[in-house]
Amino acid sequence: MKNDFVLFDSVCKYYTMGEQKIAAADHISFSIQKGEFTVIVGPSGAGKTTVLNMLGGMDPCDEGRIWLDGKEISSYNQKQLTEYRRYDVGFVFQFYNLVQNLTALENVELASEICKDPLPAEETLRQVGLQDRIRNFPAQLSGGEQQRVAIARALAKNPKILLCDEPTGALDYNTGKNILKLLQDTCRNTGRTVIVITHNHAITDMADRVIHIKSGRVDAIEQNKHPMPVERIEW
Amino acid sequence: MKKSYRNVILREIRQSISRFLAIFFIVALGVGFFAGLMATTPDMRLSADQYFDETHTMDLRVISTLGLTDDDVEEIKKIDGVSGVMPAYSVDALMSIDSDDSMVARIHSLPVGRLNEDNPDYLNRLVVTQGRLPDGPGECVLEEQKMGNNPVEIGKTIRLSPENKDLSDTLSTTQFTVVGYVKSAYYMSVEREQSTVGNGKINAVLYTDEKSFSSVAYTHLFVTMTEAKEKTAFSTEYQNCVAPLKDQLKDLGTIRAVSRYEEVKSEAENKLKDAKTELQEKKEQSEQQLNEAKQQLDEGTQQILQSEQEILEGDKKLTEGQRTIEEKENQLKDAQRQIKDAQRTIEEQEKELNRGEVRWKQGKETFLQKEAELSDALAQLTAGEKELAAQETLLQQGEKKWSAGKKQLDAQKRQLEEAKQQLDQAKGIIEQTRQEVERLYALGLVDQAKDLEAQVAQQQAAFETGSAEYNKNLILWNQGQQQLQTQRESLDQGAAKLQTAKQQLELSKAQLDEGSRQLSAARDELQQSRSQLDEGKKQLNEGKRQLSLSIAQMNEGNRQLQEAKKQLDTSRAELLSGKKQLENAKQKLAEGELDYQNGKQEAQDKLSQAQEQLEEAEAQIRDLKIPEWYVLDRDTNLSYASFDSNAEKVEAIAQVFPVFFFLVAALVALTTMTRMIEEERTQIGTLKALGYGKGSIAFKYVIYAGSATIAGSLFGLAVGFQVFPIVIWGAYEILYNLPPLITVFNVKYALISSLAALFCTMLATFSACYSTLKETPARLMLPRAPKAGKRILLEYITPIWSHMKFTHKVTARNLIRYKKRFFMTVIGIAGCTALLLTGFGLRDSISDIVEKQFNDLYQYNLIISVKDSEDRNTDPSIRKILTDNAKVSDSLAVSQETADVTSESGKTQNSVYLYVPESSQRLTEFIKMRDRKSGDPISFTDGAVLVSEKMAGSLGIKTGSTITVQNADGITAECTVGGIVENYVYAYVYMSPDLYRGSFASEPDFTQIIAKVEDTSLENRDMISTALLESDKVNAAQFTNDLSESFSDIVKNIDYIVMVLILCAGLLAFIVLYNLTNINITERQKEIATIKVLGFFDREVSAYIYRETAVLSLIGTGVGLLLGIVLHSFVVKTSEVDMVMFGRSIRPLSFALAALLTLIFSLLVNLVMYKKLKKISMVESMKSGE
Repeated sequence: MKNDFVLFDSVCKYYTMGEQKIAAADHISFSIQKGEFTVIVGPSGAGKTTVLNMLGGMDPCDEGRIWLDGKEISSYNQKQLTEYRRYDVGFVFQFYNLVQNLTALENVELASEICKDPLPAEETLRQVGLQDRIRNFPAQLSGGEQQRVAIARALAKNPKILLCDEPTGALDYNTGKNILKLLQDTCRNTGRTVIVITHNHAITDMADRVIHIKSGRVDAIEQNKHPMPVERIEW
Repeated sequence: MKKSYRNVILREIRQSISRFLAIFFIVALGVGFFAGLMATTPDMRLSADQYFDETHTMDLRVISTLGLTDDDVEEIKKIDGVSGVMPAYSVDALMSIDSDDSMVARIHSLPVGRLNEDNPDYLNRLVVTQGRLPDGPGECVLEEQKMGNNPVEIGKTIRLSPENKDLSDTLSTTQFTVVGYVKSAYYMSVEREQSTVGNGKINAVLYTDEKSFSSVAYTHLFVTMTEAKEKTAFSTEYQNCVAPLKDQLKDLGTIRAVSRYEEVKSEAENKLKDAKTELQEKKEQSEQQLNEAKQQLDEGTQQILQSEQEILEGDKKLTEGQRTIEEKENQLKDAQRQIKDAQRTIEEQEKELNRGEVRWKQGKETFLQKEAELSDALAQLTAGEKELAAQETLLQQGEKKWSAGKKQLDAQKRQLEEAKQQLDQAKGIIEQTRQEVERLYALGLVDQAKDLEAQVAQQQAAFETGSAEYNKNLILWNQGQQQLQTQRESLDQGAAKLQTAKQQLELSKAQLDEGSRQLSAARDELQQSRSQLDEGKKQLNEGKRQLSLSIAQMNEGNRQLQEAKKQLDTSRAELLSGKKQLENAKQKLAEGELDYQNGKQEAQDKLSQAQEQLEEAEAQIRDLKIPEWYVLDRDTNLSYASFDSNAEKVEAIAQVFPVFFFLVAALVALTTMTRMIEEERTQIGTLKALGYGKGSIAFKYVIYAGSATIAGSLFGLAVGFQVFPIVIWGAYEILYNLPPLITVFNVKYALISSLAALFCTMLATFSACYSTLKETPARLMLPRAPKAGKRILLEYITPIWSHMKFTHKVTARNLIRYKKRFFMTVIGIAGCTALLLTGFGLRDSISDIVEKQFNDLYQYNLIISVKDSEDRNTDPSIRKILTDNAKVSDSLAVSQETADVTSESGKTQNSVYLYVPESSQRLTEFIKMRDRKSGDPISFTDGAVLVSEKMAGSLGIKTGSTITVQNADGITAECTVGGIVENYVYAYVYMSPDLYRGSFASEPDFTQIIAKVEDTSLENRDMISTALLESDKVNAAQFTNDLSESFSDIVKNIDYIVMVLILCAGLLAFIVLYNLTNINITERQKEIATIKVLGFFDREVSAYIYRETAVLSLIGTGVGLLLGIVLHSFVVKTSEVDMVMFGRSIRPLSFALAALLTLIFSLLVNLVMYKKLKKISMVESMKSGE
């Protein structure tokens, strides 16, 4: 089991709402292999984001254990968690979260500057197809371009794992597809483990592994022997 | 208002309580500060007025050169509007407590007996703070002193000394018991007027019963007005109300003066007549007394002669007695010596006797021992004799035995010899036989031979047997012989032993005999010494008895001697006292003689003096002038005037500062509301889409800001109206004996400040709403497009930009990007720094007044006012001090009169000092004439006047312009201004004496002397002023040290106010910074959350934000310092009172302090904010755009 790249072992997360204790994650267990493209899917409020937060080191879990690449994240303290986010996790937000005051390149460099072993910023931007927009400010870029910058920023850190929270949520259909393709290509070409969180079931077809979450529990885990290329997915 | 909408507003407030509080506090601070400071002066005046009313403080005070009478009182009472008149006495005197330590006291009278509440004529009432009021003459109360301790404890006695003023004319009692401490409105201030007594400084104010005063005329009449009571003191209304009465009194004065003159004159004449009669009587009386004295003296001389004789006789007797006693004493001493010798001998004998006794006892013991030994020896001897005899017997027996043995042995020997002979015979026979045998043999007779041979063998055998026996016997005999030999030897030995023993015995016998002889001799000796000892003892006892007898005799002699001595001493003492009495009597006589002579002289002197006085009095009566009345109002009371000017100062400062507070407060409100509306953009859009009108949407924000403002105003007013007056009042309590403060809710200032605050916040709210409400709901619903990042100028300077770190780049871009925030923060911080700097600078400026005026510009330190300009040359005591270099190193006479100065533009300033030195060249040695800015000296020429800076500024006078000067006599002259000189206190026109004479056609009145004193220690100052004031030509002697001290006190007051300012500015800085940082953080929550997700450490996150705040703070501080300089000079100019120019420069330390305080506040805010920064959840990053 510990050979799994990512391992959730009966993880629970509770929130107290007044008197009531609500389990946002209720004994969630799954595992992901290195280099897999994984989609975590579920309706709104199912606990996807909670899973992402815990995996991304933004929120500690209350019960159970989380392992990544042989290390137990669930036992980390606050400082270790920050280091974990700093060195091991690349994060892509739904709303890109670029620093408006920095150019595309600078936004990427903002992340790569604090890493131990970053990829060259310009190179990464070229990889996401933005070599011509390097000197532009976020406001001068379209939504898709901004998300590409965000992905480049996440990749430039050379993370062990790329976490994407509804990366297409704020984008139109085609742009969204392009972004997904970029993510899939990244996974295929660089062998990086990519985890995408979405409520869009259509995307599941392109994943190596699909984890269905419902009301804080793992509903089902599927494994696609033959993931579909993005181009063929329609929604 | 719809219910749901009201709920929205209430909820809004609850949820964004920190924003609400930001507005609330900034408004509270602004309003409280403004209203509080503004209300302080009215509160101060009101409290003082109330105090004046309660204590029936006089409105007017009448003094006259000839004093005032009850008739005057009656006349004044008749005037309409006068509610009370109190006649009073007052005098300055030296007072001392316990030691000779004397101080100047001012003594006031109290109408004891009429001190009841409802007496309208009891004015300037006292408030008892300790003890009680005096009951009669001999008791007094003291005015409580603020600075320094009260000098006298209750119950102590104060003595007034008539050292340099004759008090008997004015006071009938000069000794007072302190029964209490009081305070009064009349002496509110610690400052005291000058006195002409002692060193000129009044140390204590005393109140005592008016009956303690003996003077005929009152020194003061205090008057109150019915109408004036309703008016607030210090106001123009009050002054206008009092003015008519003042004139009326002056008019009355001219009438009353004449009758007073008559009265005094006739009184004096009567007195003169009485005095003359008295003089005559005294003359006769003294003559009679002198005669009597003479007679007494003569009698005394007689008596003295007689007693001198008696004493001489006594002396002789005494000498005789002395001699007898000395003889006796010698005898007694001899006897004593003898007795001592005898005693010593007896003691020795006794000792010897005791020793003999011991020796005797020892001898006896030895004797007894020897006796025993002798008898023992005798016994032994007898035993020895006996044994010797026994042994002799034994020896004899042995001898006998031996002789027997010998005999036997001899017999045996003989037998042996016989046997031998026989044997030898036998042998010979045998031999013969053998020879026979052989011859037989040889003869061949063998048988015979054989027989014979057998016979021979038989014989041989018998022989051999006989030989053996013989040998055996021979051995036996040898043995016997040997034994006998042994016996012989032992017998001989025994005989020898016996012989020896016998000899020994003989010897011991002889010894024994000798011993026994000796023993009997010793017995005799013992007996003899015993009898000797007994004899000695008997003699000793006899000696002892005789000794005690002679001791008793000697004691008796001694006692007699002592008695004689005592008698002698007594008579000697008697004689001595007699002598002393005689001496005394003689001295007394001499004294009496002297007294008599003196008395005679004195009587003559007194008489002639009295004569002179009479003549003088006559002259005085001739010279008596018609008196003049002076009617003085409250402004001439030092406490009243200084309190008023202090209250004015507070007002002046209050007018400038709060404006800045309001500006900053408005700024904060604007930022806060803008931010609020921006945050609620979507909500506004939704409401608009739902159909709410602009008005009702804006209403929410108006209500929000309005309620915060109103609540803040109320809070600010409630606190400000209390705190500021109390703090400032408290500050003044250092220098004033103040009544309790009355704080009123000052509606005027409350309304002004609250409405101004409301106006500011409303304006801010509307302007914030306006731009947002203009937009369509659709656009509002969309998140606002993030503000585009822009390249800034700095980026084009590649060498710098490329070397900057990212975070620094972000900071730089952010600073430029959010221009509004940039300016808000810079202005806010700059405002605070400026306020702080102004506060500190104001303190510098005020302390400069004292420092520069009295220590820098004035090179002299003593001002002497004399009555007449010639006095400085004619009066000996003044001359003595001025010419004594050890006391005064240099001096210059000056004339100083008040003048009015009019500039070319027609502006006039009154009460300017026209200052004319006796020598224009020497003036600059005493007062530095220089330009303030450049510090260059300005020369003082004969042709032109120099003008002080403040006045030059306010009248628009420049070097070279012409001014019109009207001197005290009302003569005007035009003068050219030769320069404008640095000066801080009062306004001066310096003019050379020649120019004065030319301009006003009169001689300047050099009645002031400015002098340099090197040693300005307190003792020396006291010494000099006391010496000067001894002369009645000296009106006042004042040291600039005292002046500067009293100014320092005022500065201390202002220090307090400045502290309040600084505190408020600090508070303001905190609120502004807190609010702006708070806004900065909330606005950028998402950005912060994002970089947290990216893995920035907490310190990196805070550095990311704080770098901007730090830069803004630094810029703001810099701007604030510049702004502060401007504000400071503005405040200084506005808050200056007439006659005083504040310093214009700010000290470097103040800059440093202002900057440092701002930065400290900024740091403090950042520390508080750090928590908030840490609390920002990373989940924020998931939320949609701003």
